[in-house]
This record gives sequence, structure tokens and C-alpha cells, in this order.
Amino acid sequence: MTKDINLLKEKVAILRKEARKAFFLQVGLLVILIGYCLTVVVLFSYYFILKRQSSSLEEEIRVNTNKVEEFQTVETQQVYLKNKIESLSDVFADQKHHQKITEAVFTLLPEGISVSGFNIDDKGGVSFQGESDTFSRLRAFLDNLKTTYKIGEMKVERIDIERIFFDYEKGYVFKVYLLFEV
Amino acid sequence: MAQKVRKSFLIFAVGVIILILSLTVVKPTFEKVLRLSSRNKADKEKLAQLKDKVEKLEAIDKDEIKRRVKLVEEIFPSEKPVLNLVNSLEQLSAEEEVVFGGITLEPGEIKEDLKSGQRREFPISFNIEGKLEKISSFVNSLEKAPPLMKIEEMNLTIKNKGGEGKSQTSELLTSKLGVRVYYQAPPETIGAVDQPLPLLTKEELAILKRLDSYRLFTKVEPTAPTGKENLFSLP
Repeated sequence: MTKDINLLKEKVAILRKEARKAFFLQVGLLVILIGYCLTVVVLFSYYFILKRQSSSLEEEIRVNTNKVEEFQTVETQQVYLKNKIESLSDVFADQKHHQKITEAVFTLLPEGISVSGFNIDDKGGVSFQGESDTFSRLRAFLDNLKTTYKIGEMKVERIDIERIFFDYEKGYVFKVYLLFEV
Repeated sequence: MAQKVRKSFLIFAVGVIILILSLTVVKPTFEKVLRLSSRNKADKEKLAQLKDKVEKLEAIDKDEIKRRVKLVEEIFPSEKPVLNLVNSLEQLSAEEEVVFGGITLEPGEIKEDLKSGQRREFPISFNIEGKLEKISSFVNSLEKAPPLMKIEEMNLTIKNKGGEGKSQTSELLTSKLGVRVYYQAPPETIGAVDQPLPLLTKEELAILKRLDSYRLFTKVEPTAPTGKENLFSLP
């Protein structure tokens, strides 16, 4: 019966261990390199995708810009309308109010009354001076004022007869201030 | 020992390769990707706006917008509407059966340097003569006649005082009206191509509808020849 005596057993084990370490190191480095290369490839691919997307977007923008330019006349007209109507809106609001007040005063005035100094203020108030050659016309007007709370759409908030006097040339002269609800 | 050196060299070599590649290739490419990505995002937004604008422009009725522009120009003109104002007042007074006269215009400079988009105005005053109902009707119609006007002052005087027995039909009144006339130069630019199309709001459409109810009169166009005759023109 023979028995093998291996004197290099320990050394072989150490060498094998080192060889395995070296193998894992090489494989590890290779994996890192491949991983890095893959990342670079992915990065480049994404860059090219973005570049292609960019040129396609640019082309689409160019086509649509041309389309918009074809409609330049319509666009100019639309901008013109928008600009003018924006300005019109506040004049209209004011004008509508003035118009209603003027109409209301006309409704209140009986025949034979002259009006001067008719002025509309920003608060919705209107002041004017009236003249009547007869007392009955003045009275008819005052009666109208007394019983009026609403003229058309305009609600009367306050009526002030500021003064009444008799003038030999003009007749009965009175000054009125009417405040309408805004 | 030699193997240890080899190992260290390998690690060092891989590290150097990665570093060099990172600095020379990966970093610039990554920066380009970031730049392109943000540019594409902006381009996408621009394209969406352009597409939306084209869609809205295509939806606009060309004849209708042309008609609206003509109407607005007549009512709220771009230049001082001196001639057409007198013409409108004359025609309106004839229609409303009142006598028109005594007009005082303060138009100022006729050819002025108008800043676009800025509303301008000038005052006028004039007299009308007629029966109370006709004057009332004239005043009502005035603010629905071109160019855009706003009544600011009004005086009403009985012309032929006839005493109590006199009926309203025979009573003549004179009214002096102080009116403000408005106009506005058109905008100079329409903005960038990718700027959204300004659409009219509900309120603005209502204003346009209101303009349709305006009484339009035949326009006065200056027909008289201007300047000297060209003596060198061929027959």
C-alpha cells in the first residue's frame, strides 16, 4: 500500500486561490468596461434619437410657421379687431350709461321746459338748469320728479331741487340734481 | 510579485481608459444631450402653439372678419374722422327731421403722429332744432351713429315760447350738444409668429354685435383733384 506524499499541496492551494482572485478581478474589470461601454452606447443612441427628434421638430415648426404666415392677413385683422374692441369696451360702458341718463331726463321733461347746463358726472349724477315760462309747467315737472323712482332701467337714488326763482325774462328758473343708481 | 504588479496595472489601465473616455467623449455628449433635450422641450411647446394657432386661423371665416374690420373701421376709425363726422351728423339730422347747424369742431392736427393702440378723442359741439320728440330721437340715435361719439353736454331751449296753450307739436326747441368723438390708430405689429392668436372674449363679441346695430351712412370720399396738373403728361 503506497501513500502519496504531496509536499506542494499548500503552495498549490495558494496559487489556485491567487489564480481565482486574478480571474475574478479580470472578469470584474471586463464587466465594468462592458458596462461602461454599454452606457456610452446608450448615451450616444439617446443623443442621436434626440438629434433626429430635433430636426423633425424643426421641420414641423417650419411647415407650421409657413402656414401661419399664409394667414397673415387674417391674423392682422384679428389683432386689429382685438385691439380696437378692447378700447371700445370702456367707452361703451360709459356711453351706455350717459345715453340712459339722457333718455331718462328726456322722459322726465314735460313740454315747455328749457334745459341748460346739462352735465353728467362720474357718479351717475346729472345736474341741469331748467326754465319754464308758466308755473303750471314747472309744477308738472316737479310732480313728475316727486312720483318718479325708476325711469326705464335707471333707478333714481336722489333728487335735489337746488333752487327755484322767478326771473322776469326767463320765467321760473330751477336747478336740479338727479342721482341715478350706477 | 509580478502578478500583483499585473493586477495593479490592469486596475490602473481600466481606470485611466474610463477617465479619458469620460472626459473626452461622455461628458461633452452628456452636455449635448441635456442641451438638446431642453431645446426639444421648448420646440415641442412652440410647435403645439403654432398648431393651435393654425387651427384657430383656419377656423376664422375670412369674409366675416373682413366685414367686421370694415364695420369697426367705420365706427371707430384709425384716423381723425372729421369729414365723415360732419357727413354722419348731417344725414342723421335729415333722417330724424331736425335742423342741424352751428357746428364747432376742435379736431386739432389733421395729420398727426398717432401712437398705435392709443385711444384718441376730440370735442365738437353743434346745435339742432326741432320738436322735443325729434330731438330726443336724434340724441338716442347719435350714440349709435358712426364715428363713435359720447354726449357730454346738452342744452335745451324753447325757440318759440307759446305759452300754456301751445301744443307740443308746434313747440320748437333748440338743443346744443357737446360731444366727444373717438378714434384710434391700428396696432403697428401683430407680434411673433408663435405668439397665440388673440381671441375675442364673450364681452367683446357682444360689443361687435352691438356695432351691427349702428346706423351706417354713405361715406364721403374726397374726389377733388389734389396738386398741380402735370403739364408734361402725354395725351
